[in-house]
Amino acid sequence: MNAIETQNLTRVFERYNYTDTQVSMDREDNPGGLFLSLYNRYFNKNVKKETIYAVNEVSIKVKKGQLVCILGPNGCGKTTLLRVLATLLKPTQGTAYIMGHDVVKEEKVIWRYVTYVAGLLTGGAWMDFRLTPKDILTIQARLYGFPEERIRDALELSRLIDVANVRVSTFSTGMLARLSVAIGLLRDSPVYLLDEPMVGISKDVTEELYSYVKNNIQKRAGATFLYATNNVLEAQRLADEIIMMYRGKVIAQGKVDELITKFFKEQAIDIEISNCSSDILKSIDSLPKVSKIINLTSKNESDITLVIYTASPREILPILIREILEKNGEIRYIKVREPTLEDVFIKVMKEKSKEGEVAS
Amino acid sequence: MEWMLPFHIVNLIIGVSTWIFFANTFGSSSPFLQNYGNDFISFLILGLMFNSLFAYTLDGFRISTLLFLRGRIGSMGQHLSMYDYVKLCGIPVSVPILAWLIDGYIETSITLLVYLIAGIIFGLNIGSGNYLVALVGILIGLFAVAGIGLLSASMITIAGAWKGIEPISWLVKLLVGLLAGVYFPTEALPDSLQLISLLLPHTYALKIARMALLTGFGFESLISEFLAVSLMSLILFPLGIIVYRYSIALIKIKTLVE
Repeated sequence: MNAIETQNLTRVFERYNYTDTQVSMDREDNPGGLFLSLYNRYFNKNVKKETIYAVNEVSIKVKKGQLVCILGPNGCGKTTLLRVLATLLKPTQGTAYIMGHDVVKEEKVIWRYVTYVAGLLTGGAWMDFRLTPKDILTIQARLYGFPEERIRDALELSRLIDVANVRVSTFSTGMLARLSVAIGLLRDSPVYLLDEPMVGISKDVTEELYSYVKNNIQKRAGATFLYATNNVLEAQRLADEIIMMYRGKVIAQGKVDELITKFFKEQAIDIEISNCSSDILKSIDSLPKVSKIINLTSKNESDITLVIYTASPREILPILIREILEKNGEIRYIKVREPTLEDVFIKVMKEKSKEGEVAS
Repeated sequence: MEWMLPFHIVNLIIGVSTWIFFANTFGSSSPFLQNYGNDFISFLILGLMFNSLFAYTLDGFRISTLLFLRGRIGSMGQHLSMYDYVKLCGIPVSVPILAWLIDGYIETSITLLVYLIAGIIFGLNIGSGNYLVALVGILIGLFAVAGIGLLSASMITIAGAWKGIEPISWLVKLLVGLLAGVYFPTEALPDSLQLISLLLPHTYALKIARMALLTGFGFESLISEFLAVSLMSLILFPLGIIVYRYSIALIKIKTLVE
């Protein structure tokens, strides 16, 4: 049984585009606001109804104990997908299961299996800042029906035991984030849905939290994570598997290495050249077995930086170096590297955005 | 609530006093008061008392639902919507809504008590009344009004009625003030307006309560009023529940923010 499974999951939103209309007039404190709003929706020709496919026929499977990152730009449907799985939104079409339970038909039991965190800093939402971590965890334990003995473990794991009786209002951002993790630990959910959890948290704290998540929650408790992010490095660092989304659709899915091999058969040569003439550039353009050249500098500059993608860097490099030196160019830096997840992400997003432009 | 209460009570006392002095000046000689023991002060105080209960029943569901849908939990810029919070904690949606409703009823009970004390001081005379009949009449009336209140609350998600006034509640309140006999007997209205007043459950419930309390009428004497208000309750309350449940289910389907 998969921890999370969706089949053709679709969630549609309707929105109104108020072209040439004073949208502020149907505000809440205007006594006629409701009537104006209804007029705008149904009779005003300047208001256009739009249908948005926030999640479009998404089918995914996440095995128990896996940490899967959903990677995609803003507005690609990550949050909507997580909110459907957390039973906060109803899918328009398709099915979704958490630990074998249907999120629509068995909505009332899902909360026991899922901890949904919309940003670790949003964890503040679970806290009353006048209380202490101990008070907050006691409330959470009672609310969720967990033994209060677990509170001490959660405080120790999140390294908050020394400040267990200090008011949360005096805490730093990092401490608040750790308290959010403590709440997560306390709940001991089999499935965690994390929506861009590290946004707004500094690098040192995120590093600490990554290892908490990996070592204490995922490995120790065997929990499953669906982790939405637009940070490629974060995804590459944490994920057992990646799901890439674009405009509501899953466009790629697999392990990091698999994705890189799938999208890039080549390696990348980063090269910086001084005194680079047009002859040198022509020679580089005519090199054999080069699939793509990206010039990272602006035109008419003699010092340039290039990324050359090739499947045969060992064959290319001697020719490339000889051509540059013979034409009086100077190589300032050269490095052959494997493509990264970031290369895949940029390539896939550029292709999809071009497809979108062509389609529209 | 604890800080608002003293001001609320002072406002109520001044309001009741104004009506009592009004009643002392113009009341009791009217032929329309014959069915109500010719006692305008008692007539008025009972009207004000029960109307405050009906008014809250009409608006309470809508106010509680709005508080729930607009509510945020958290502090220092870190929030979850009340809806998300409640759902993620596995708390039934009905719990916070009913909690706010009960809170409002506690406040309304204090209002009723103030009216009752002021009434007793100024000569409210219900000593020989038929309390059971009045209580049953008011309870049946409350169910009918709650049905309208639930329909009104449903309009928040069905029609988007967090903007501006909510038409159902607004219309009923407008008509009740003039036609339901809160401040004067409906018999004083022209025939055409009396016909409209028959569409309001308030009219029957107030009539039952007043006649039972001021002249000691029993169930037999008030059978037509009981039948009318019971019929309204039997239709409006279940209808209100069905539509309200649908409106709550819409939260997960519709986009609430345009």
